[in-house]
Amino acid sequence: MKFLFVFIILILVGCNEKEYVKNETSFFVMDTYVNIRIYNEDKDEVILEEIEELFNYYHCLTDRYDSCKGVINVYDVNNMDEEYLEIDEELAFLIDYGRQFYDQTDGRLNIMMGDLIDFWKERILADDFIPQKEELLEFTYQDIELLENKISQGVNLDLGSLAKGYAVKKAGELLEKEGYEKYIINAGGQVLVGESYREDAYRIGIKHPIEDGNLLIVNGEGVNVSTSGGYERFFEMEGQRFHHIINPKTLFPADYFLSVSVITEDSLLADALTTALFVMSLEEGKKLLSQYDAEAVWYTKDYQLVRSEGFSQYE
Amino acid sequence: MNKYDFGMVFLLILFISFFYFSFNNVNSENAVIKYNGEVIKTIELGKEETRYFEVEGDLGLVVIEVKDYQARVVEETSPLNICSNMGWRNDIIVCLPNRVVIEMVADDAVDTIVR
Repeated sequence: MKFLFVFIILILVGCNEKEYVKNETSFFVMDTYVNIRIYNEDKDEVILEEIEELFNYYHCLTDRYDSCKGVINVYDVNNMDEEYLEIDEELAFLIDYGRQFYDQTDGRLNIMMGDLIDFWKERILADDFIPQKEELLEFTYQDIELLENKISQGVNLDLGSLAKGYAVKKAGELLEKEGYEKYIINAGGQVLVGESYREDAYRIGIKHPIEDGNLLIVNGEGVNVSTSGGYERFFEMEGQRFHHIINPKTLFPADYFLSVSVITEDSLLADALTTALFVMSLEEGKKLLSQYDAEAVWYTKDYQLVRSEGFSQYE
Repeated sequence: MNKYDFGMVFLLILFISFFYFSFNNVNSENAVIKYNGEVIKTIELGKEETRYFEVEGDLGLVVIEVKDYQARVVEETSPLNICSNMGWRNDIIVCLPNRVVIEMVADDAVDTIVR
């Protein structure tokens, strides 16, 4: 009997994986449904509210359609009367990051074409006609002049390819700083996971762009998985799909892949890279990717999965 | 009965409840309907007859049809009708302009989905 007693104690100890409370919240921000899960020993509502506030702030800071109380934002920059405007340090950082990525990608990632994006978004909403190339050629852009947080007049910013990644990155940093290590931040096309709350890593499904279910499943901890595809917001015309990710070189929606996903530690880099890779050929993309500590998977128009060299470590 | 017998009975109860609670959740095939991040309704998915649920979204009524462990949006007002065009799903349906979400956690295969 004594033996059995000890035996069962041992089994119980073995089974007794630490239990975590799942603190969860969801909200709509940045045109996205955001879901946050924090695994902690106790119930904790305060941190969830802090994270939601953080997302709201970055939405406000990067909003193109409205000014933001208390801080100069993208709308103010795009509509300024002054010759120069002194902007917030974080906004300056984001603009500078985007400008550098423009050079890195030979202009494929262009944060200076706000009007063109608006034009296409309206087309998608109206669901009516395919624009002529000549019409699109009217959309030119002015390069950014940014010095010591002062930005020049005449730019037409759209930080849509960076804002969400930046907010997710900042949310992760806030959690880590406050001592929360086990979390999942899901902002639609951007998922950042911390340490796992159980023995194995988190399993993250990458949505299939044209079928039900997942294209593939990746495993990871402390990584950001992001995906770009033209499958959620689009209109169909003459058998073609027109979506919202525009190739600045052609001025038309990018037509290289069905979806591209990137895995890397930095959510901001992930966001920028996945958009850039979506609007360039596989060859160019592989070259760009090789400069970063990041992996990618491309899903081509003929339904092939192309993985970067180190991608399999996540499978 | 000695002290080990008492211990045994106690442990057995612990043991059984442990397994009961840990495995009871695995097959909870529910759909959660949310508006603006708040849970409006939790419905049990099943093989039974077709059921309909209505949620008030930002742009009007969102009508959800549930059948055979799946759900779809059959009626909604929105510019692109993305969520009604998604058809039958067993993962997640997001009606962004209406702020209505239907989350189905049918299995434990993944923790989250990047989309």
